[in-house]
Amino acid sequence: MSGFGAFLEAREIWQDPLLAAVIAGALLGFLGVYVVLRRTVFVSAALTQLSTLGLIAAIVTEERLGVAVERPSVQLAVAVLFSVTGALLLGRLHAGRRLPAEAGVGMAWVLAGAAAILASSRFVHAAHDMDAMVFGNAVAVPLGDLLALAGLAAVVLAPHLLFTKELVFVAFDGETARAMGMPAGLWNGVLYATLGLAIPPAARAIGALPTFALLTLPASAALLLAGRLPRIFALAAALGAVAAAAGYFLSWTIQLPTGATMVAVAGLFLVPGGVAALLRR
Amino acid sequence: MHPIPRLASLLLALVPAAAGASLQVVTTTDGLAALARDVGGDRVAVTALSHGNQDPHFVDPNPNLAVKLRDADLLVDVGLDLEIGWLPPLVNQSRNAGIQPGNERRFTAASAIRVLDVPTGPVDRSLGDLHPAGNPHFLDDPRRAVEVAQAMAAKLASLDPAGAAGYRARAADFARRIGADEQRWLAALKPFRGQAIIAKHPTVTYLARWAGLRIVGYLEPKPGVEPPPSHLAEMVEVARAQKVRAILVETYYDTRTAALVAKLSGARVASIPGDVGASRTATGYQAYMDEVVKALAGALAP
Amino acid sequence: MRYVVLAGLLAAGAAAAQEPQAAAAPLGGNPFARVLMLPDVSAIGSGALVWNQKDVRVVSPRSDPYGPGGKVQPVFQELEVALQSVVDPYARADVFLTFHPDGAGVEEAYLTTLGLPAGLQIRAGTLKSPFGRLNQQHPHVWDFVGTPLPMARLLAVDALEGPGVDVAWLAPVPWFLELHLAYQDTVPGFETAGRRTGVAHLLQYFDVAEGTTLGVGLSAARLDEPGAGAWRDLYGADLFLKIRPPQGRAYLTLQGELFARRLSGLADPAQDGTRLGGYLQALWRQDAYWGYGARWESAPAAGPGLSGAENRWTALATWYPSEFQRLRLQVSDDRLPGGSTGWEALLAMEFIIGAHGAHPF
Repeated sequence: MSGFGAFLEAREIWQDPLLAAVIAGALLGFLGVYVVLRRTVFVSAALTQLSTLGLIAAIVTEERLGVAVERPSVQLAVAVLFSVTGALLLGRLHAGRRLPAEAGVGMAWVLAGAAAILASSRFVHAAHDMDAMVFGNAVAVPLGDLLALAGLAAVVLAPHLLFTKELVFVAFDGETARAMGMPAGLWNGVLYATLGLAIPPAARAIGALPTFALLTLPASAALLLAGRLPRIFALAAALGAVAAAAGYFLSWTIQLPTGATMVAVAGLFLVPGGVAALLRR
Repeated sequence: MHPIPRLASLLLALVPAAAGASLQVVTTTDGLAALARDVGGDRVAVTALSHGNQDPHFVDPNPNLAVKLRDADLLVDVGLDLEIGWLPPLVNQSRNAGIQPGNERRFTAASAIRVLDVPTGPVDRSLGDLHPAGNPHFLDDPRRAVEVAQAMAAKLASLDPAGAAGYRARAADFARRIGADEQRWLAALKPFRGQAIIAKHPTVTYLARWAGLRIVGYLEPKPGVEPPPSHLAEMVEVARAQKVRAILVETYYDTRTAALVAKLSGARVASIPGDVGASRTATGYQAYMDEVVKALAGALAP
Repeated sequence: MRYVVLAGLLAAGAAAAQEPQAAAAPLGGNPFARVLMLPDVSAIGSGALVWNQKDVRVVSPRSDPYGPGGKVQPVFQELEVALQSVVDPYARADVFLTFHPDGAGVEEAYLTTLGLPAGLQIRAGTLKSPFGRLNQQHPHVWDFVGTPLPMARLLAVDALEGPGVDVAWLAPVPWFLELHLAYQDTVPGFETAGRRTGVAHLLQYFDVAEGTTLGVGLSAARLDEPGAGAWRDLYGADLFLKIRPPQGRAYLTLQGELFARRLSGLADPAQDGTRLGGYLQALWRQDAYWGYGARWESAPAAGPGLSGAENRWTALATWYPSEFQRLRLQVSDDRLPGGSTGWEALLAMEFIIGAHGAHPF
């Protein structure tokens, strides 16, 4: 069942997960340029941990509030709510320059992890697979998750395509932007909100580690290979999509866990950029 | 009040009062605790060291569990290395000579039944995280549950001769009740005898054998290993070729993978509780098996 | 999650399991009888890639794996071989042999009684002293790589251990309360000769809430120093908090120990006095595969011409590919008195094969 012919025949198995992987790869690769340049690489870990915490809170208060956490749409909605809120707070923290960005992200991650453990020790009886509510496995992507990912990707990319100049200016030269009278806080908020929106549906489709890897590795590779920002963004998105698709296909042919193979392929993309950087020295 | 009597009375108040019960029975799982309650009645006070919604391979060897073992008149474990990761140090710390393996206050449930999936050749850990002694998930076969209950009654009778007749009577009653239930359960499953099923892992070997179902594949290529998509494609083909109608997954596992194979092959996902206590309603052995059979029959129904 | 799923084995199982047949007695008895009598045998190997900014051997003596300043160095830490079995109905034996770059030795080898009355349990042989928490555990059970500096400097560079007897009494109260009294011959600090040692350790565990356990311990030891009326007194306090929701693999632990060493009546009175140290660490196990930790240590500096406290901050990330392997990345910032700092990084690998007895909490 591992040959190319068998792969083509089994289209029904791969069409949804592969499409989800490509969308997530391109989306995360694109946003990754901001994440890497602003040194907040652990943002996906922190935001998905906040999503977990939010879901635990939802389960604990489920009966009181009358929400059905068993429903995938409710799970995703809660995850997105906590992720966007967390992202906006991190953005404020970063804008205030009180802490290095990575330190704030790391603290949010660890505190959310600790709080999740504390909160989930409250429910002893009902069995819940918390992980499965936040993270997918890149192999079985329900149609609902794919549609949510595609829809949110469109919502995220719209402001990025319409207001590229403002977002780039504020993100990479906030001081000058502020001096020129631009509403830097607003644009910064938009940037973080899009991160907070993009990460939960991606994590739910392809899993934790691939999300983290696709948010950091393709952008790093693109930064090593290209010099001008428009090309960096395009290359990062392309590398992300290719890494996700090639990872999926390789995991089929050589029978390895899918998420891990995507991470490995994304890692390989650092090699040509690394060599080029060494040669340029 | 003089301080010393006050301290003594405080300590006495802290000692758990097992009013009327003559034997303290400690079990490693909720399933065994349910059987011990059925057989022991009010002559025994039963404590389980783990919950039904907990993975019995990974219980924390919290020293307070050793304190429970110190006071145990009987320790009931599953055996077959299921509890190997946490029970031995607790038994060592307990100072309770009787509950050491093989001693008179230890009852290993696996010793009462015939074990399946015993490897016949050399094994190593490249096969995944495996049980070299055989498959320890045998309580979802009611016949084996009855065998365990009867052997447990004999053990209780030898430890508490005054209650021997009572234990035997209760075990016989349990066998009769479960026997009647078994007829009902088997009747509910009868239309599906000989049908093929797919499971997530080999936890359901005993259940399938009892219900007359054939396991034709596992969603995981090796125990605990995430399946690559090609394995799922293979499972879809197997499911179509063998007309699989149900894919069995324990309630606490994610059902996305099972749902994908089910959707493409026209099967249904049967979400079954893993042990007594794994769901709010599976409070005793009977209720637990009722849920298992209901989930199975529901998924297998045309 | 631990089954054999080889198709051949399943087929064999299916053939053997035609229900009504009784299992036939094997001809010629059990051919594996000798194998059944073998003790549990296991081996644990550990090694690391280390990088230290400073020349640790000189400025910060310790027992951790370290390398020459400024170079990435592969180091072999230890190979531990364990033989564990019940001796007879009255006792069990645990033997741990260790092979390390300096040679081979017996890490521990002791008998443990199984059924003494009155809550008593005796261990006799060569054993790690019941002093504090980490001192009694083997390094492969530790969350972090290497001995905390205060333990190496104030207790003993390679754990306080040696031949002797340890008597432990489990008090008849509904929580875990254990009192240890031990008499041993141990080698403290960076010394080379053994000293007669008396150790007392009081350990309690409380179930604070469902899935939450609190452990507190107090330790004291008195060691005979050379010279009349000369003593080395050790004191310790340990704290352990573990929160583990029962239904998952994630947990959170908080652990700390305080150590004090008092020297008195020495030939050189300038060396008399009390030194303090301690560490505090937290570990977050995210799931079955990942864990993260942070640790702070403070110990009296031991480099030439240094006095005052040496502080080290450490961050840890652990990957567990399976239950039998772990890969740890540990980064530390070591601050000597006087403000000089040095970065340290470790990539440590560890594996376990065979049947290794589970460890106490």
